[in-house]
Parts: sequence; C-alpha cells; structure tokens
Amino acid sequence: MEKKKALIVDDSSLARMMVRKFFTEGFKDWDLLEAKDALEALEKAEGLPLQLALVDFNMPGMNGIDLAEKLLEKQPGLSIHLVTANIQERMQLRAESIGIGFIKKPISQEKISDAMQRLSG
Amino acid sequence: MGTRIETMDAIELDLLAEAFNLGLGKGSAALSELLGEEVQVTVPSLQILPKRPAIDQCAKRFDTEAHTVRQAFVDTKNASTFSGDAFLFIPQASSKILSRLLSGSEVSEAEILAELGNLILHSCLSSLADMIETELDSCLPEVHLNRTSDILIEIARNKNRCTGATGVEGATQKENQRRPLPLQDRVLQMGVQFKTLSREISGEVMLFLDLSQLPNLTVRVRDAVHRLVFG
Repeated sequence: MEKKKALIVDDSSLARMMVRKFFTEGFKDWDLLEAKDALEALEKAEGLPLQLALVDFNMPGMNGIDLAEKLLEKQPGLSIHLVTANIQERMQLRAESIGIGFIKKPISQEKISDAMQRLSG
Repeated sequence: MGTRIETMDAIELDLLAEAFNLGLGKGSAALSELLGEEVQVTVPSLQILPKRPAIDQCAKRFDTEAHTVRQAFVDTKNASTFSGDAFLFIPQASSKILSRLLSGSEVSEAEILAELGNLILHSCLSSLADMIETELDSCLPEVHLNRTSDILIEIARNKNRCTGATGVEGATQKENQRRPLPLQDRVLQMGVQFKTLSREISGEVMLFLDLSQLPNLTVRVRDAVHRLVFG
C-alpha cells in the first residue's frame, strides 16, 4: 500500500529535523517531505498528492498562511496546519477562514498525532 | 586554557535562533493581545560579530531617537554558560502611542516601557534558557529614555576588556586586523523587528550574547541539539 505523504515547511533546519525524528519514530506509514521555504514547498507539492502539511508561519519570503492558500489552490483536500509560537487572533481568524488548523510551537509527536487524527476524523 | 571551538556550526546557531523565535512569538502574541491588533515580526537575524563594531553600529542606527529597555542576564545554573544583554528599542513616536493606548496618563512612559520590556525580553530569555536547559538570572529592566547610543557605548566600554594576552599591544594596526579576535571581543547578535499592522507602533529586539564563555555555551547547545534530534 502506498504511503501517505506529509510536507514540513520550516526555514529552521532544526525544526525540520525534529519533525523528521517524530515521523521516523511514530509514523512509519508516512513519507515526509521537507522544504525550507514557500518556494521549495510549492515545487515539491507540484503534481504530488499530499495528505498533510505542517507549515511554519514566520519564514523568509512568503509567510505560512499565504503558502497555505497557494497549496490549497493546488490541492484543495490537503490538511494544513500552521505551526507557530505566535498565535494571534487575527491570524487565527484568517486561518479559520481558509480552513487550516494551528499547532502551537514547540511541536511534538503528540501534536502531530492529533493533527493526523483530525485528518481521518 | 585555550579552546579549539571558535564558532558554532549551522544547526547550533539554528537552535539559538529557533529559541529566540519561540520567545519572540510568545512575546508578540502577548503584545498583540494588549494592543488589540496584529503584531508582525521579521525572521530573526543571527550573526557573530566583533563586539565593539556591533554595538557601535546599533548605537548609530538608533542615536537619540529611540528609547531603550535593557535587561542584562547571566546563567546561574551552570557557572555562567552564557551572559549578555537583551535590548528593546522603541522609537519615541511609538512609545508615545503605546503609553496613550495602554494607560492614558495614569502610568509613566518609562513604566510602560519597563513592563513591555519585561514581557518581550523575558519571554526571549526564558525561551533560550529552556531550550538549553539552564536557569538564568535577569536583572530588572532598565529604561533609558532618549539615550540609546549613550547606553550602548557605555556597555561596550564597560565590558570591552580586551587583555594584552593576545599580544596585540605594540603591533601595527594592519597586524591587528589580521589577528583573529579573541572570544571576549565577539558577540552573538540576534535581532528581530516588529510592527503593528497599523504601522503606528514598531520596535526592535536585540540580544547580545557574550562569547567569552562560548565553549560552555556550545556544549549546552550541542547537548540540546542531540536531545531534540536524537533524543
């Protein structure tokens, strides 16, 4: 059976390494792709069906919410979660309006698991 | 005692940047709640620089047009793993608006800035300390109205105790420039700018980490990287 695919987008290589560790240890039925910024994320998502995207908000160039909008244009069924320590009301409202969730930094295996459960629920 | 560690590698610097980012994020969210509007934050910049030029450059940028909140800090758990100064720079115009929005005339501008500094700077420092599993002691925030460049230059002078052990004394200026700077003459500078969506209020947060204890700090950071990534 083909593995499900997730994309982590974060300019911090440390953050990406931590997420990779969580996936390696806890989500063996998933393939994890990495991107360091929005541009790379959009390239990787091109023509490749994804089930989950974890997107940092504060990145050089395009921010995470703008990236989420563009990803949803390409893949409307994609479950996207904004990963940020900086959760503000206006940002929350905008995220809700486009149908994306939040994961509060620091990210953990448990938080990713919750996001995946919402995917199948 | 000499050290072979002259600098941190990319992933170690990344950890410090991420810790700073986390702290800033929490501080910004709290500020946003206070002000009732979105606070936008830049991606943190992080670089290792010669101390005196770094501080001089900062002083020149702000001159007398900004107020400064300074919070000195030192690690108390691990015999000074790191120490340094955290700064919040607020342009005078932004400070006036902040005072008006947050208290009217009941509380002085200096007190508002002290509270803001405590909120934002302490959040950054706590995040750093948590990330490398240490405890730090930070002084009460000092507010300096209209004296940003003076304060920075005072700090640079007080801490800039470059000793003669490097053998610099007596050398020509050209020879001095070729010598690698001793660790105590360098800082790790982390900075971020923020502004409200209305652009009425803006400011900058900057941390200067004293690198004279770099080997100790590097050990703590490497331990943290190992713990987080390889757990």
